[in-house]
Amino acid sequence: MDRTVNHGATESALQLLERIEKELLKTPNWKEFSTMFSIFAMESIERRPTSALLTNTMRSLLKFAVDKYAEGQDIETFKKGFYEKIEEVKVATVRSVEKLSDIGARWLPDGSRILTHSYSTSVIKIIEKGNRLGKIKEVFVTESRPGGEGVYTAELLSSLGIKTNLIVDSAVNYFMGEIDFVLVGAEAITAHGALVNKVGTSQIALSAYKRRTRLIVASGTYKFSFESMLGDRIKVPFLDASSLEIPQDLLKLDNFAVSVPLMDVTPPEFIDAIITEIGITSPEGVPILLWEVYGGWIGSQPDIKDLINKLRNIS
Amino acid sequence: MISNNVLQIAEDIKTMKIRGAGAIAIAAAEAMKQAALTYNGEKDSFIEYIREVGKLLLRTRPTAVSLPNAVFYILKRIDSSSEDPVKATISIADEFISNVKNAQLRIAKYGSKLISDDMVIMTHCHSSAAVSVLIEAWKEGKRFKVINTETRPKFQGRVTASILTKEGIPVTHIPDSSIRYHMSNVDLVIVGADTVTSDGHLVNKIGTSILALAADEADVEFYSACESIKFSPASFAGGHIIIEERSAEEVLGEHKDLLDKRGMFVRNPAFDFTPPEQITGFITEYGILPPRASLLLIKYVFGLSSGEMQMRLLEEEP
Repeated sequence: MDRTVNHGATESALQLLERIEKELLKTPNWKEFSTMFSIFAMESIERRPTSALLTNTMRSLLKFAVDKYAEGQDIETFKKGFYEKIEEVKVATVRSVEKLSDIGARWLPDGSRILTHSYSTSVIKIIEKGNRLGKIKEVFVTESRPGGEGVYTAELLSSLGIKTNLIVDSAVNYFMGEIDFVLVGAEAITAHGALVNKVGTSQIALSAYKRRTRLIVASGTYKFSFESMLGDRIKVPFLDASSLEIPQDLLKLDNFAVSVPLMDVTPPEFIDAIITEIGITSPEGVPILLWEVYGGWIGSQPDIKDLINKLRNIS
Repeated sequence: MISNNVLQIAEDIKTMKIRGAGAIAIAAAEAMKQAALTYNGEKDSFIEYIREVGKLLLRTRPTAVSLPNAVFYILKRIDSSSEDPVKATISIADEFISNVKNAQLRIAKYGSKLISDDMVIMTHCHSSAAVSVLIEAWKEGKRFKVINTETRPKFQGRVTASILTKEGIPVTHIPDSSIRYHMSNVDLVIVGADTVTSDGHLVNKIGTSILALAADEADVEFYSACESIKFSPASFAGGHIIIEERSAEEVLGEHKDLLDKRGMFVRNPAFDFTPPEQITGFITEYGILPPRASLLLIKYVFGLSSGEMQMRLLEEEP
């Protein structure tokens, strides 16, 4: 299976930035840089089309390159600036996680019994900091098939001495009565406040909603998706049968197929609050925060496909 | 004296040599029949004797649901029979065994009427009753698709997928986490049952309740294919259904060394409860029953007092 599946969106984006530094900064001229970067950008977005963090990061880097080329900057000066820009994005991302986890840990009630799903850097940070404040009673973690990232989350949390209960994905409704709230990360948050996250999130949210148990999302504003405001639909990637380790004798049968979506969409009415690095908001507050962060109407953000095309035309 | 072959059946039920709701029910009825066949005491004390046999059987697996149902099905009918009690026991036991054996055929007949061409039907875990409904509909020439869950931790969904595809039914296998994702394409859900309570709750394989909830949200009909022996008279008398929590190893598999971490636990319940308001109906061999009318079936088949008798017996010192 693709390794990117096993990481949270934040971790994947940081790894991608390191690859850009390693590979793109070696290019000797604008032509090679722009060719390589446009392919790189296309591929990484196609690989994880749901990740708003990745798209947003790529957009800002593409815009930087297109602008600097238009200004007539020479490649060596540009590369120095580009490196600094990447470092800046990395630092900002890490700082955002720190800030939102401070806010999240402050918000956590005493004696919290939390259910989380899959693997999220932000969620783990909040629980880790909450535990230092003595606020965590126990955590329930789903396996999160396909991929099973929940096992990794359970390993991390239990290593911190936090009482961690690993459960199968289908048991979420069974345990909903034993927890105080659900805390999950985000792959993306759409402009109308829907959450795109690891598959399974939406049925946890449904179960929580039914029981009037709160669902809290930990997500930096860098995961808010502009594209959704421009009418783009979320394309959920699908994995193949190997992601479920299906035995050969079953796999070879006629009439047998699998359907393994990697993500699902949780509607805003199931979400109680979103913890961001600038504060806690409701799903309806997403456009307000977008305005706050980007200083205006989000329609003014450049389209990422236009930027890639502009980059391609550099010769 | 209770004969050796009766004691042997009781022992086989107790040691789980005989397992599965249907097999246990049939074995218990067979034991009652054998007890009647080998009875050589006074005619007047037969009723007392056959009740003792019933108690002996009940104590072998105090939490099984089909076992007391077999016993009470027979005891209830001996009481109201005009026949000689010994002969009555034998014929009632035979009738019960034949009912249990035919139950799935009748369930398949009733259930298949719910299925029409081009439907997408979701199922969970492995239930031979639910599978029999699907196969019957397919044999009647209806053409539909099935979506079936893996059913962690033991992957019983793979058994279902294998049986259905071999019949020619197209199956799409999905992880349990994607039940709600796929529900928007589903027309009908059919699952099995472990136990049904007197107020219409379904106890079934873990995950059933999230399936029902997602079906309810998407306005999809949700049925449980369920033999009458799965209905619990004891729940009418206030008896609790205890959900078994199974081993950590079942979930962890190759990761079982994680249990060495000081904070690490695994919670592995085998079943969950689905409330009656999320169930369209129980497909039983007596017909399709609205869930809140479960008590009617319990009254008809086992008698309302059977639960009370069972609970008292469990509360007595052995």
